Amino acid sequence: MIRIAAIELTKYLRAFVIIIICYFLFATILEIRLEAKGFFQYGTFDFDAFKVVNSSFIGLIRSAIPFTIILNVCNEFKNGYALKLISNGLSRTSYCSFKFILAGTLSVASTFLYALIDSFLLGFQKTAYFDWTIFASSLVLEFLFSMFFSSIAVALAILLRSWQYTLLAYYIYATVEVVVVLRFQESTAWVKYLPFNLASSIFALQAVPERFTDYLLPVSILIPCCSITVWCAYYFFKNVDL
Amino acid sequence: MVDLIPAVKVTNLSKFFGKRQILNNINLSLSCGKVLGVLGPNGAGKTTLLKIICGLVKPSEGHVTLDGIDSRQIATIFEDQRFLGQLSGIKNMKLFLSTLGEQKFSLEKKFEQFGLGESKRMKYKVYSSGMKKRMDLMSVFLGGKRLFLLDEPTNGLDIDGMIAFNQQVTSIKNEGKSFVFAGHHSLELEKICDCFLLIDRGTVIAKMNKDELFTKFDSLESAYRSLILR
Repeated sequence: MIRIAAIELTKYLRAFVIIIICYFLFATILEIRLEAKGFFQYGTFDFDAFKVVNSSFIGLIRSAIPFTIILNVCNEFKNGYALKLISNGLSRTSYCSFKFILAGTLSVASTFLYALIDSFLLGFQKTAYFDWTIFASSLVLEFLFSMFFSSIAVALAILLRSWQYTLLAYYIYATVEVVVVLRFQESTAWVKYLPFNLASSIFALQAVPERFTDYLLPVSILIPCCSITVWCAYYFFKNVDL
Repeated sequence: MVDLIPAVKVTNLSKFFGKRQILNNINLSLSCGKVLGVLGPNGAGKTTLLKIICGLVKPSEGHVTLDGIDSRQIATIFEDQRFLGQLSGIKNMKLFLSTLGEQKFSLEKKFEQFGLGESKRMKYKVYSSGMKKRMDLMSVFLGGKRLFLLDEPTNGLDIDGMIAFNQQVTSIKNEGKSFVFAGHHSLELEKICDCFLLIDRGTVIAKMNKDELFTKFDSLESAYRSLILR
């Protein structure tokens, strides 16, 4: 698996990918600097500071990484590299699995970046207070939600195999969800359980599960949603003409 | 073409893309150590036939049987399949073989053998079409493959490359490995193939071995002219 992760990462890391990730990282840090006034004034890394960091960082795992994954996977279909691998003996299932390994690898990398940003901000800390519980849970959630968004991006890219259609499908869905949530969140309760919004709001600490059972509803929404998308990608990719 | 133990057997194969029929009831068999040349005009269905044999395209009707050949033992070249432009030739080849789980080769030497020694560290996107074709050929001849499906494998190759290619095919063929070539160059096919399949608009017009060809016609080109361009 490490060998495959290394191969996929070598293919993934291109100049434009690094530029996009750096741009989003810079934007995240800038947003934190502007939003986390309390933290920079009093120097306490408390719940509110985490809230700002997480809600800024969600842009990276919800938009930037899926964007680069979609371009990467679809580019392999566009120039025929994916077909070259498959027609020379790589099974379609293995090809799909390799892309999900890439999603996992990027989730680990983004978790590392999240920890790096937190460490960077700790340099500005003036008090000794630091909520390790929130930090640990944020790290875990960051990995899981990054995996969730990346897997959906991989699945869509494998299903559609054209970067134009895949970007449209992913971002139109994400935008429609945002619009629906903004428009109906006051009047309709279920809109907050839409998968992208649910994942984002949990990570951004807008809805904090307190007991173990509080996790059951999000899990029962996000895991089936992700599993169905991934299963569709495997199933249709196995049977489609390439 | 009587084959007792065919390496590849295609039975009643048809393919539709939407309502358009691309292949119509194709039957063929190819035994180990033989080279089959598939000849036909543009759009005859040659590439689709090869893509169905290697599993890229699913048949609408009929089936393909590979006797004792695992899908990992198939090597292919198609015009629309390329390596990654942002990586160097040697890096591409390393990744390609590693992804397919092939054993390690001395790639430096292989690049020299295929006439790419000086350009192995250049990015693939700046390769000429001939150099790209050499890379394709290197990728198929490196592993322990048993069935070679090559769609116009010599397009873009210079004379030197063509001679090397023919020698390589002859030596691999003698090891009992099978080839299917699709192409337009009748002279080249005539030289390296043992049997021929002439197809037009998805239908088999004729199948014959080399002896049958030269009994009935002067050359493959004259067979093509009288059977397809009539």
